[in-house]
Amino acid sequence: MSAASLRSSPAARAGARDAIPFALAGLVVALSFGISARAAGLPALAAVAMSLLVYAGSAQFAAVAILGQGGSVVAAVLAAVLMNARYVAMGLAIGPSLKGGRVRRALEGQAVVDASWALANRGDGRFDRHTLFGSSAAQFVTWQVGTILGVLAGGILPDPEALGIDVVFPAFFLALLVGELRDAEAAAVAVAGAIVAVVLGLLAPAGIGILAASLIALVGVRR
Amino acid sequence: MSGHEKAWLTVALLAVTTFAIRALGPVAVGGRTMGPRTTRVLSLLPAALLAALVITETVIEDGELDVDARLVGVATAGLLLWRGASVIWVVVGAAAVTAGLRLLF
Repeated sequence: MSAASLRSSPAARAGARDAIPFALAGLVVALSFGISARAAGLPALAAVAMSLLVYAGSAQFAAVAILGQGGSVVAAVLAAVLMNARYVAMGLAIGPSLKGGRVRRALEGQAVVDASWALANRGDGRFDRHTLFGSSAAQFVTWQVGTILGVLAGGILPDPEALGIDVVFPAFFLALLVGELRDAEAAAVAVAGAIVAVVLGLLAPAGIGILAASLIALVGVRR
Repeated sequence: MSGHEKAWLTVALLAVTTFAIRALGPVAVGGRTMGPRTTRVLSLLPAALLAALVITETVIEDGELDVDARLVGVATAGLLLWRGASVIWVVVGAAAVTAGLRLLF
């Protein structure tokens, strides 16, 4: 799809518009990422490059937290990969709604972030790809701006946690979760997923619990 | 390896692995459509994943249970969502309540 046809697509524009609250909230999340990255000792430019090239909040937070605790590069990357593993499942779900050959599908799949994927989900197993692109574009912009503001503020702020910066990320994900609770089964899956994640979060390396929780969704094969 | 080298190596590896992970699903499934059972599993996935992310970021710290102001902050977010607030006010409200509690206690 050309840039011109994307601009003229009502769904892409509607996607970008619907994503504005998430993009603004994403700005605050990115701000908290930039501050956390500086607090963890990451060079300012590396934090900005990470947001630009990776654009995956939970993976970025996980990697930075491990580096900040003196962990190895392997541990940081592994935690980020586990966090990102849900994108494989999300990519499988959205795959049939994307277009073109392998290369184009691989590139279109880069627009998947949690909020854009959830907004594009029509709830009947199909996804609107224009909504995906529009909402992802809006969030990409604020993710970069927020990160830059965050690394700048991170050099000045004495104690970011005093500002409640660390609840910005879970609060944002709670908002996405509420949109997914369409029926009783989805609510039950969410509760079960939370329990699995907490139990394994206490027993297993970071990220394993999140991945194991996704297996709860397999109850959907019953019908 | 210096801290800066570790940081930049992590950025490079994250960029490559994240690209590959995002490409994997769409390339593997191609244009095939899924059966109703697969579709149902996939439509339940975000509920499980998002709930797992929210709860672990709220009550777990460095692999241990840690119930503190974060839980009240995220509960505030839940209350604001229930009242129909926009997501921007949800995150700002959660942070403000958490910050307020930390200031007081």
